[in-house]
Amino acid sequence: MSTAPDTTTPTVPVEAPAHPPIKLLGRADAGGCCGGGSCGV
Amino acid sequence: MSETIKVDIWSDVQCPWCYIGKRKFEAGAALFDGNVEVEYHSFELAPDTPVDFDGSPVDYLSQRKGLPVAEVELMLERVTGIAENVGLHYDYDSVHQTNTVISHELLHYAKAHGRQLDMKERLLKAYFVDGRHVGRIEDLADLAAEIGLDRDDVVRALTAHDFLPDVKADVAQANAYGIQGVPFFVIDGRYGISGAQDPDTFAEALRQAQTEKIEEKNA
Repeated sequence: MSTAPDTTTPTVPVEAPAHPPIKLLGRADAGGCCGGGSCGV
Repeated sequence: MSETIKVDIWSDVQCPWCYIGKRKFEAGAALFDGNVEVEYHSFELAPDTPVDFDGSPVDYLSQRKGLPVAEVELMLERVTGIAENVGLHYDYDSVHQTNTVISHELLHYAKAHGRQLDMKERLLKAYFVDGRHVGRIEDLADLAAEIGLDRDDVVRALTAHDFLPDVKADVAQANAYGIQGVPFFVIDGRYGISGAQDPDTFAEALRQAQTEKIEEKNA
């Protein structure tokens, strides 16, 4: 049985594209559209 | 001294609040004493929708959201009234519910040809006001030609899905930002504004971003 490390399986999760942090402004209840249907039409 | 402020907007062609938000953002930008550069990005609210949905928007929303027809009708009546307040005359009786992925491809095509803003406005008006179909290549090519784009080349690019990777990249970026609803505005990469906010909110965010940008430059 081989004891060599498995190099075929990634051990680090794929990261989302990097972006700088953003600060949210404005009212939380402004009209918008969501795929899941939780925020207005 | 004025700095150009970049605004990235995630939006879907069949989102009524996106058109209202566009008008409110434009009003806010008009209140801002500076230069604004706008770029639209793709957000697919319902990527599983067929190109030719067999039913009305009321049927669609009722089925999708699991709401009674009467409640959906009230929602559409409300949003139609809000649209009127910003000068948009929505006609839900003539809307063709569809899949918008190819219209997003067209927006990227238009961006590559320097006409994205005109195309965005034309597509929103086509869908909400004019009762035009925005899910089929031939119909989209007609709309593109109306703003002066090369109809034959549009048909070629949309048939080949040349810009589909750009659409998917926008969707991935939206996920990275944690965007769950649209319209969503990212002001100069610093501030996020969700929904069709009042013009003053946009104007203030633009001023704030400009102030910070100038301070950073002078630091």
